[in-house]
Amino acid sequence: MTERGALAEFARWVQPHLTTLSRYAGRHVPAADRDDVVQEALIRAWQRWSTYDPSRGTPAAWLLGILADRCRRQRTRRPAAVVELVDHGAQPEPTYDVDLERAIAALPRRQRAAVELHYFVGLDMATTAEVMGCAPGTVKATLHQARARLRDLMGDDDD
Amino acid sequence: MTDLVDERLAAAARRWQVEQPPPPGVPLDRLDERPPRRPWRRAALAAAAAVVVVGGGAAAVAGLGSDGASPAGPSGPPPVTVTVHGRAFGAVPWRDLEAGHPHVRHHEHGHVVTPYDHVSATGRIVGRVRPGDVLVFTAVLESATTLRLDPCPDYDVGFGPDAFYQWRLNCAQVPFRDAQGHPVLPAGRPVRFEMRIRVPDAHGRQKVLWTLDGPWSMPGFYGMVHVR
Repeated sequence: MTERGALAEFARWVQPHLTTLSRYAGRHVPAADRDDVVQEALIRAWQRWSTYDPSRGTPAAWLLGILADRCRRQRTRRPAAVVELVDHGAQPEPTYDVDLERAIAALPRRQRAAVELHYFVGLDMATTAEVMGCAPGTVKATLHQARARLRDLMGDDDD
Repeated sequence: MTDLVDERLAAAARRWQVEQPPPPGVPLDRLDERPPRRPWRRAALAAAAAVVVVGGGAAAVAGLGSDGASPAGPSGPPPVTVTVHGRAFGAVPWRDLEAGHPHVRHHEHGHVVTPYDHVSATGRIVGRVRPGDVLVFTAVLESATTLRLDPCPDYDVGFGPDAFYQWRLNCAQVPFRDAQGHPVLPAGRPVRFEMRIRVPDAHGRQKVLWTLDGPWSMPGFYGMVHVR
């Protein structure tokens, strides 16, 4: 296959997952960096594409693994002043559920990851489990615990 | 039993998903790009390339095609050996946005005014570049009062006596919003915008001038670069 043909095939291969990747990045880096981080991850994915093994996981989980690494790097390489600029300055959207977002931020890491992946990124239970490296049943249990914790954190106002 | 937290989470997630901008495209023209280097390697490369990097508004040189968009400039530039991953970290990213020429001037008490009359623009541009390089720097905009970026203003960049470019600011990616969701310059808080310009075919010391388009006061700044 020619280089151009391989590029086109790669583009077709990742196209169905772009929304998922963007949502994940949107939850993990400031809005201004979202597109850059996604594109960096796609460049990385292209460079490693030959190593992708379908028997070891779905394309979505593989791509999200690469993206998660780029998000981590992005967070660590941003100067502190910039973090302040973005995080403190962004005004809540009119529909922003402040209480819920605060409560999600206060969840233990695994519970927060399950909530982010399943609800906000929009992954099904199986893919969430694959990304988190556990069984679907474990994800269900983690989500159950997360919802219970959220209920506590939000002061039982939903009961 | 209906789980109300589950419903609330699902509703919040749906709203959030709807508010997200469309995903970026696959950067086909960047796929052969090397990944960003570690900071110490980036610094070493920058030093080797004799690029002066300064704090605040910083100028650096990026390899060609290090962004999905193509900065304006002469066609057929020479190959660039500098592989600095030019990225103005922490700034609103540069986008190749065609100037919108918005009508921002209007008369008020006999004077021509614009919403951007009291915006200050600062930055620093300094370095050694070659024709065809992509010069990366940041323009820092600040307003004493919260200022809605609507309409989104254009800006001008002059490189030397002959090259002149005009683009629209990347307002859509400004991380500050008012209650209506419009991008704003928050009161007293500087917002950095990444700028990119392809170095034209010029030689010697060249003046690079950045100005916000619209206000008579022409807020802006300039710097000198040495083109080898």
